[in-house]
Amino acid sequence: MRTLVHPEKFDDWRRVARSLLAAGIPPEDLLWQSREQFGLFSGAPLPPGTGNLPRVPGAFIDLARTVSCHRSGDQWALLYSLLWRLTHGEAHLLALSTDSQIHRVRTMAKHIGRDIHKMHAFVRFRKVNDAPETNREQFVAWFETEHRIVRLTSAFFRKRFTGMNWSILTPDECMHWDGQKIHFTNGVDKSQAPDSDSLDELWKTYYRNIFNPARLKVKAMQSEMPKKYWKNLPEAETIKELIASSSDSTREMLATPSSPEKPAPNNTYLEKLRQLDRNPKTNSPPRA
Amino acid sequence: MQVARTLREVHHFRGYIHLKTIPEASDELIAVAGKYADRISINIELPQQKSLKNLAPEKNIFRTREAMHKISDKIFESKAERSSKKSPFATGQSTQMIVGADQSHDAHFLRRAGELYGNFQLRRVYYSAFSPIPDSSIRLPLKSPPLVREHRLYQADWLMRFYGYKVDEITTKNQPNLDLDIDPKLSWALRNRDFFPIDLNKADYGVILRIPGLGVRNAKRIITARRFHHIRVNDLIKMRANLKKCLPFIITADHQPASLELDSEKIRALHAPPAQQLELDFSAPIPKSEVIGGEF
Repeated sequence: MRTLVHPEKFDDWRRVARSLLAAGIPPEDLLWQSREQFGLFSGAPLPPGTGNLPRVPGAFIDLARTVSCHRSGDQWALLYSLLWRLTHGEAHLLALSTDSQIHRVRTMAKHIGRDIHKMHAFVRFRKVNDAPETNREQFVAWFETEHRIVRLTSAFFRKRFTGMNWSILTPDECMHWDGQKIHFTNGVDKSQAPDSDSLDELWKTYYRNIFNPARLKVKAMQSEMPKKYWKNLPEAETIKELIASSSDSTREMLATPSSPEKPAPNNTYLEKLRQLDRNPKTNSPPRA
Repeated sequence: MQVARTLREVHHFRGYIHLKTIPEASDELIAVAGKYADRISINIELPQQKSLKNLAPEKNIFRTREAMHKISDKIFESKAERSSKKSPFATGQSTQMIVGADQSHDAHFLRRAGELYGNFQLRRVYYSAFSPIPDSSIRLPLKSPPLVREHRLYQADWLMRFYGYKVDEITTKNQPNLDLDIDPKLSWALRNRDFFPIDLNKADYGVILRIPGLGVRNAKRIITARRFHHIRVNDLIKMRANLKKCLPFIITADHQPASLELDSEKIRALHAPPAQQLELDFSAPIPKSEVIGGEF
């Protein structure tokens, strides 16, 4: 039995996996451990990787790259086991959606996908000073991801917020955009991030006004926007108050008797439209 | 339009913009809107002209359809020229219908939606339950329809777009409205019992799609997986298929529905929500006989 420490990232795992595979070491001879568990033991040096490595489908590399970000650490052993099976007579393994290891790796990929999706949706930037040299607006956001996905979201944020300078700070890693390129720095804690700005109130007013009490579904809302994200969303403060007032405002509305039919508004444009219906032959639309 | 322009050109906003227009807008305006928006839409509001006449007399389905036609042509042209990036235009159009404001049946909504998807390649038809607004006209209902009606319409919409169902299969002459208690796919299955049970190890993809409790993704998984081994109930569990729903309708290597489980009424009861007390209409005078208490 050989003990290995969890790699930091995909490329590290790939290097290790290549030499293990080249040396013909099967997954059941390996024990992958976190750095803490690993502690006292020192792993045997890796065997020198030699010879041609068998090819694996590109889809596996993509999948492996994605689940590498999983926080559990369980992915490394699983990935090596899949790699082993793919290269030892189960080339079609990825198509076996009913295989329990495939099921596990796909579930992990799903967790990551969901985490990325939530980060796209719930990052809230706060305005700080403009960058002095370039005069570009400067924004900072604080976000806590479930898995280590910051890098996987860089293309999205670069494309979406290309016109401003921004930094997204997280405990794992920080990502910065200056209009030219993305760069990454070490993670920080929340105290480094601004905790409010002048735009917060505007956002809250906006959310209060688009809230439709008649369509309130608390459970659906919470499954889309789980509570764990609330603490970093400025608009979340308004949720309680809106939910509490919703039944009152609906009741009030229903209690108000409906008005008698109003006369059609006397508006020349609407009159033109009505005219169209009266003379269906001249059915070309009027110009506004 | 100025807002969209400012967002795009001054603030370099790259997010999603959805602009609504009216059938009577000029071609030039539509062209500009299409340049800035990702999605353009004209709300058709109601599925039938006669309801529009009553509730929104300035709206006209004929003109709306004309305008949708023009927009769909523009989207098509722009897609064809995408490589040259000459004339960027929105990539899709959608529309909205209000459910529960008029007497239209679900069949009317679905027929209209099917027609719009077919003719103008709409990305989406949105069904919005009518919600009463303060100080509304007496012609409008006071109460909103149950939100579940909207939900059922979306389910039916999905069946038309991704599962190959026709409107006339989802609703029938005798039942022009969707069943609120069970979903339209299960409802179809219960009306077409002779279609089932389906052998998952033999059936075509399109047939598997008709099994309640199995979605597009699982149908595809079944097709791929059975190239390598026989499908068993355990495989369905791993795929997180809705077993309770699909078991009465399928055959696998280790499962045959027992004739006892096949009673349509029983299946229906299994999936319908428990009966609720009827909502009392307090606005109507309560007949005396009901006021007097008595034994249940």
